Amino acid sequence: MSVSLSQKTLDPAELRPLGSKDPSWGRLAAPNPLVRVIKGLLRAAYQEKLSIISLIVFFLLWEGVCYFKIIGPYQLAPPSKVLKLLIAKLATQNPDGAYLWAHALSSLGLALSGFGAATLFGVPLGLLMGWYPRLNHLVRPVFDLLRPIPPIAWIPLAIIWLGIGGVAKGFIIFLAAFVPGVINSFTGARLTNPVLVRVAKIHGASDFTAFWRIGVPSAAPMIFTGLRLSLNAAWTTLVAAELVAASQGLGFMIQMGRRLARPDIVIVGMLTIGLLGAFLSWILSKIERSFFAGRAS
Amino acid sequence: MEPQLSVSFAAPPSGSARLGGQKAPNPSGSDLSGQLHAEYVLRSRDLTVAYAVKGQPPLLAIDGLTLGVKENEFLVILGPGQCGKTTLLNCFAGLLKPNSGAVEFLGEKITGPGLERGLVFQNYALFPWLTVEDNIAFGLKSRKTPKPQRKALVQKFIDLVGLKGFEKAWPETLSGGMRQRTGLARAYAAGPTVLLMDEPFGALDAQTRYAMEKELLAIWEKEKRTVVLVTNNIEEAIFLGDRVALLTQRPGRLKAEWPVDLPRPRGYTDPAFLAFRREISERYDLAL
Ligand SMILES: Nc1ncnc2c1ncn2[C@@H]1O[C@H](COP(=O)(O)OP(=O)(O)O)[C@@H](O)[C@H]1O
Ligand SMILES: [Mg+2]
Repeated sequence: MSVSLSQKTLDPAELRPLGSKDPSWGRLAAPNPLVRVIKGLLRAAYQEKLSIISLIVFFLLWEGVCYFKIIGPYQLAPPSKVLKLLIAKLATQNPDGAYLWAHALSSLGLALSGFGAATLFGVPLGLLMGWYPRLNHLVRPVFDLLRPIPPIAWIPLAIIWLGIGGVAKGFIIFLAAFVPGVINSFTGARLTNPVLVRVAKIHGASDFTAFWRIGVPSAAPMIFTGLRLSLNAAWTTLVAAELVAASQGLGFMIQMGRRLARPDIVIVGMLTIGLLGAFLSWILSKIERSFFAGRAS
Repeated sequence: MEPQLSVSFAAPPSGSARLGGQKAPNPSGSDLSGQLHAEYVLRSRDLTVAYAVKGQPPLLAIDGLTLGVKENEFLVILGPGQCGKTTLLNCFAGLLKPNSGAVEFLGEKITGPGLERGLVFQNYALFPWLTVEDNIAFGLKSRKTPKPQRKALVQKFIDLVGLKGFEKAWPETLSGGMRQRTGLARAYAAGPTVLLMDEPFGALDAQTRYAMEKELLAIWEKEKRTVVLVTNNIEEAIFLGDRVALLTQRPGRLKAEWPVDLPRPRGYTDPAFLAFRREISERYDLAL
């Protein structure tokens, strides 16, 4: 049998398995509507549509649970009420003593100052410990001793030392944010490619110059990882720190909501904490991205 | 088990026996006239280097090597893998302290790194957080060269190595050949008297490698420097060198030395080239 090399287009029917008489072989299947809907739904599962669906279901269930009094009004407030309060709280100080944005600003100020101080001290300390083993041997034991103590456990001591003002709360947040800042900067500096250090030495760099020009930029990605974890820790500890004693702040607002038996206030406070936290992380990742812009990898 | 360094140069954090910095005797780098009272620009004398390996006798990497390179000479040191080539260059660069013997620059003992000795690395060792031009400017910043002068010099070497248009590129976006051009320009820009090159084209594919060898010669003809290049590739050695020094297997000792009297450009397939290649191959220790 000779093989034809001409570029004859195959008739789809020829592709039918031997003996099969099914005429749909080789033709595009005309999908029936049900199959199309199911396929569409499946595809949505891979996209974000399903997440939206799940959110809607979640809020509907929540609303229903309250509407049918499955959970009482002193235990849970429906989303509709929460949303109403969220808007109202922008313009009213009642009943917890401050506008929502005032609570938010107070909390932000506290968290960011604790985070800022932790970054200011923690990152350089971590970098230097990563670069100079002697400093590491000096500081490490104390650091490792204090590290496993949860920041919240410091609250009583913080009150004894610093009173119940903002300083004590800032101190707790500082402790929480300090640890990841140090550890990640340390690791970043430690992992510096020794060959690059040699290049710097070849070019006449002293040990400290090499630290500054090689160690620090090498550690930059890890520094940012540390900042992210640090910010996270600061924001997470915030509520606990504001439980110490406060007259403002989102943690305080939640606490007031509990005392007033107003679950809607509690939930508005919780939601604000969540949203602001996500917003802060988003800003940090924006900064990170612009910092590494172009340095494609 | 990780081998332990007897002399620390690899560790970024402070090491045990770091060498002190050495001042460049000749900041302009290129012009040696009147200063060259030594016969050799760079020389090792009875150089012996051993690495301390935990739980084992010291590992002898170089054993009593005496070898020198003259002004503007292109010396190729040829040797099988692991024979101590990198170790030797690190000694010349002042990154590694000999256990005995000495390495000298212009007759003076080398006690540390110096800008008069530039090093080009096999794996380029570019700073990934700096653009091409900032990588090249690195040594000039160390020298505290004023900015306008620095810019001019950087541009000069960018043009020299053929990186025009890539000034703002990031190293990761470059091909191997382009990266090594950057490495070469960076070494040149620091103004060295001697260029040390550690298998600079070892990571490139054969075609790129050949192109880069030609390029290197063209650059070197324009900007003459004393060059010490190490390689394990016989053709590369013959193609590039004014002189080829062959090392034994580890521990590295000088096995043979040839001046390469073939006129440049040399062709890989010229009969004289091939004859030379055969001669060297016969003496070349295989590291299996
Ligand atoms: N830091 C080190 N510690 C221990 N042994 C080493 C170290 N560096 C190199 N060596 C050993 O020294 C020998 C020579 O190494 P090297 O100079 O890198 O050889 P080459 O560059 O010729 O391949 C090798 O056997 C290698 O394993
Ligand atoms: Mg090597």
